[in-house]
Amino acid sequence: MKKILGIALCGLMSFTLVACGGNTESDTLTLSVGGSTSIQPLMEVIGEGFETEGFGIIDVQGGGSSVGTSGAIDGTFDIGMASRTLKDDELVELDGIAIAIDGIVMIVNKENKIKDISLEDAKAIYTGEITNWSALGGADEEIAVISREEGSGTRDGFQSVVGFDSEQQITNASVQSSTGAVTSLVSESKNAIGYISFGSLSDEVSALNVGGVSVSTDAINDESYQLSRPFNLAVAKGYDGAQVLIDFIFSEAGAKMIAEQGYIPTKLD
Amino acid sequence: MNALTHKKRIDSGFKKVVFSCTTITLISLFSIIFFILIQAMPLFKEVNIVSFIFGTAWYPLAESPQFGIAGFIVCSLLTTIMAVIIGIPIGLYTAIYIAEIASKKISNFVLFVIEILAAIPSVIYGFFGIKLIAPIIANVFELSIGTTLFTASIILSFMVLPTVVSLSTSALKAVPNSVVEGSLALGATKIQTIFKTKISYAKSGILASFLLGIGRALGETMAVVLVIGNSIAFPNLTNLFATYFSGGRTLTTNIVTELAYSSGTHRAALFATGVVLFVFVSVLNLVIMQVKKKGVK
Repeated sequence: MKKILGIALCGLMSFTLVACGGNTESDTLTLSVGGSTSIQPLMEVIGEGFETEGFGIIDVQGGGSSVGTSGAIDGTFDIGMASRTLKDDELVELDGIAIAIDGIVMIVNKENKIKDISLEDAKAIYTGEITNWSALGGADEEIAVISREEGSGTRDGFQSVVGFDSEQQITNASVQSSTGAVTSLVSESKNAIGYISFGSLSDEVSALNVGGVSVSTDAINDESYQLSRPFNLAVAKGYDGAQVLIDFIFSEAGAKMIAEQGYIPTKLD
Repeated sequence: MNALTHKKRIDSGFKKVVFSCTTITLISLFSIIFFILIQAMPLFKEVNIVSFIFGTAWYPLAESPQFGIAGFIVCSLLTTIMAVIIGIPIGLYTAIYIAEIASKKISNFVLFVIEILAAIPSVIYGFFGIKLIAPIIANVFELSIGTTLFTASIILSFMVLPTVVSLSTSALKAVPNSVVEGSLALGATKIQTIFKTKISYAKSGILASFLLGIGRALGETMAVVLVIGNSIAFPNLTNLFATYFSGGRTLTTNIVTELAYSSGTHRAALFATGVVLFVFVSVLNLVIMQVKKKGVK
């Protein structure tokens, strides 16, 4: 028994030594990327691919789009992530690079006869001006509004595209903390409306057309489908230390990863 | 002589083991309290505690953020009260049945079922609630959505049953036979004896079981978050009926709904919500200790 323990200990020690040796001689590129929590999962997948290909290591952090842009300005991050269009004052110091487009889908119960909604009506529903499906030509039933929690990237994207603030949202809206929960609640409640990321759309629920346009990769790409937002990378002007990562994202392998996560990859202009 | 010192050594060694385990238990509690307080601190640099506890608006990410959890406190109390109103009579009567009326075979079987009920993970209760109870509530009461305070209360009432039943049963079984025989000898019927004599004799144990059930309902998270809707609307206190049949958010579900993507002051506010919940549970436990003490006298 003691013998086995001894051998195991020796093995462990030599392993530790090897591990230490590996660390000191390493000179791999490490990039810190931070910001939007909506882009974070995608960036983590890209980071894994980047590492497997041997380009270097990506350290991905959250914090929100504004943390991403300010981090890219002050040098905390090599690259900031922003799941919105960059603001004018940010564009003074930053270059914005759109890497993907995130489509958001409004979903209703399969029994619901409403097939189409405008962004104005969506806003009216979420701000409580419209509370009955009959206002949109549907059944005379109260609308059960379902939203996501504060801090969710999808909520942030939905509010910014539809055009309302958290304070304006109807207070009795049900708040669910995951796409799965929104989908399942909508599929269980015939008067419910919710919104989820296009990549997570399932056939348990029906997706509403927005302004007569049904959601599809093509419609999001040519911007005829309005309910979408860009995933931007923010890089300080004149800084090219992170170019390897940007090149990787726009490579065929990068585009494939983006598509696999349910987003639509963009092409460099 | 040698054997004696050896025995003493084992004795003192065991004392040390027991003592260090107790220390670990205490340290785990105090480190959690310490951790929650530290995490909650940043909030109180920006918001004073009064507007946190009595504020009715919760907009943690707005331009001028508002952190008011009064509505969540009220929802926690409302769901707990309704869960107790539904769960306690059922639990107490089940305990009376097990302790007094059922045959040994049946009472063992019921206790076994109750144990299983206690072992079901709370997320399963929640899933059961969202898939089965919520649609029924929506249909019966003609609501647009079945996630309501009442739905949460029903699920919670299931969850307090094991605590109430098993502790009340032991309290009833601990009533000395002489008391029961005295009552019967004075001409009381069996039911009179149970309600007038046994329950009043066992009342502190039964009360403790109720209070522990309340603690369970107050602290439950995963089951509630799925069925309560988590809306931030302040409950309408002038029409409780309407309030119970609309959504709401409790202290626990506020934390679990928003923790994942929170940062900075928002996250601190969620931990501060945890502190408030902790104070509630601590007060409740102090009351339980007092009740048990009285029972011993």
